[in-house]
Amino acid sequence: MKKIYFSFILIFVFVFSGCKYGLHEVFGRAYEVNERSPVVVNLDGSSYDPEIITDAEFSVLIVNDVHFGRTRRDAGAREEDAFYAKLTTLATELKTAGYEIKFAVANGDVVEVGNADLYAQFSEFCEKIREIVLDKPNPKPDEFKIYMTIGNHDLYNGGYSNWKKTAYQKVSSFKFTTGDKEKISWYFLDSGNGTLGPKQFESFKNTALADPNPKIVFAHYPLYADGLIYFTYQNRNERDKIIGLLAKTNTMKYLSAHSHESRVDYSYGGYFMEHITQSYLDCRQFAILKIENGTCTYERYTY
Amino acid sequence: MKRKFFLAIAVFIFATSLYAVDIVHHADATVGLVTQSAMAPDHVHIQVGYGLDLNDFSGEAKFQVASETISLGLDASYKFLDTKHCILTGRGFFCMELMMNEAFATDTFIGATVSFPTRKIFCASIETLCGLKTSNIFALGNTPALCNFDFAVSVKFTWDLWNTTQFFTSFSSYEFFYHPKFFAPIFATGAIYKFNDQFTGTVEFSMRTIDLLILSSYVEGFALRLKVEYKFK
Repeated sequence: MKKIYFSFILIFVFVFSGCKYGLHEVFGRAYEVNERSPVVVNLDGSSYDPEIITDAEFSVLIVNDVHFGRTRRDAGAREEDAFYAKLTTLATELKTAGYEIKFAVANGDVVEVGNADLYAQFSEFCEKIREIVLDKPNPKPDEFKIYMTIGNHDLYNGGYSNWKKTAYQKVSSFKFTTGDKEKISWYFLDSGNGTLGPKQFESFKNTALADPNPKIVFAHYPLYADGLIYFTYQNRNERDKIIGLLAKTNTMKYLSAHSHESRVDYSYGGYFMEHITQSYLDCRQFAILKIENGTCTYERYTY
Repeated sequence: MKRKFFLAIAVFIFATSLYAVDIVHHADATVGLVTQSAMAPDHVHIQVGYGLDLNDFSGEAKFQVASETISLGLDASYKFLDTKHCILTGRGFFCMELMMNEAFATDTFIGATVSFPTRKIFCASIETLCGLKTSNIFALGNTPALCNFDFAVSVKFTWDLWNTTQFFTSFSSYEFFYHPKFFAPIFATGAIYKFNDQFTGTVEFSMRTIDLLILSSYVEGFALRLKVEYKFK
């Protein structure tokens, strides 16, 4: 009996301490969303602002669920080279067409678990993207800005401190504005815990209600996604409040990730669109957002 | 004329059958405190309920007022099987919730509960339900309701002690007036004390989590409830 008892304790300790996803953090970790992101920080005028002050057309690169630290489920390998090749062609085509890629967004889950070596791999990935888009070796992070939102995987094993060191903009909930006469406000929300949390939501609400510009909102978690049964905000009241707020505040698009396989383009009664970009790793997907005269178009690409 | 006649007979038979069964009524009142949840600040909610038990059938209507919501729910269950070691109950409920100036939501669920009583002291119950959640968000105007097909599960253990007290602990994906999407479990524990044959008092403490399945690790809030129930025939 004693043997069984001790075996059970050993298994319990092993599972809760050894799991690479940080199972011991199941009921909480050091930095939850209310601590990480109590307010939506305005980056306008700071050095982190993308400094797009004309109404000229441009485009934005979106990748999500990159998951450094894991291989593709159906291939057992990663295929960064294929992505780099596709991006090289696309960046040239967009530039020629007048839609130069001005900045990029990594919409969460850039690593499988929050370890520093995996974030280092992601930083190398960002460096390569900069080189391709700017078509020159060793550009600085300031020359082509890659903004990051937090995903649930980024936080595993106390990953927030590593995320913060890696993220160009250093804060996990923020906004900035682009354009001159046709301004667009870009919001990047922290949904890494499957919720915005009351503090961030209140800050987002007050900021969005006072901001008349058309908005594009990024967050890792989908909202409703045409009835997706899982992988969305789980507190329905929270979800309904966010949707209501987006509908009331001139939002054009809500861009999310997280569900990997789901390919969703859902219109909330014509008020705004929700797009889920499939996983970079598992579905070999990324997206381009084209901005033209204060409007935007979302396009998916496969590498 | 014939129709009215047969209708009268049917009503008479139903009414007499009601007299034949043992009807127990119960009314309850609950006051609860929920700490900061995903969206609302700390708030108190008040619940009142009325129900009746007719042999194997139970029905209950509940009403709740909270800081931002008003909710009404109907709950019905029927015991299909009642043996010494196993009780099988079918259950269905319908809840509607008005979130002030934001949305009107409904939850309709149907399923079954299996209970395994042991020596009239310990009982383990497992409940599985499936259903539909709808939300009409006012800001979206006439846009059709957002609908989610969803599941609900609940596992509950009870211990009866000293003929007056029952301790319980549960792990559930929902509360009667709180329906997060699957799977944001609620851990609850508490005790029911029987003052006499008519009055019971309940104290319950629960912890609400978000997205536990993928270890997102967010404790959304805590709830403390005090309930008084009165039974009469």
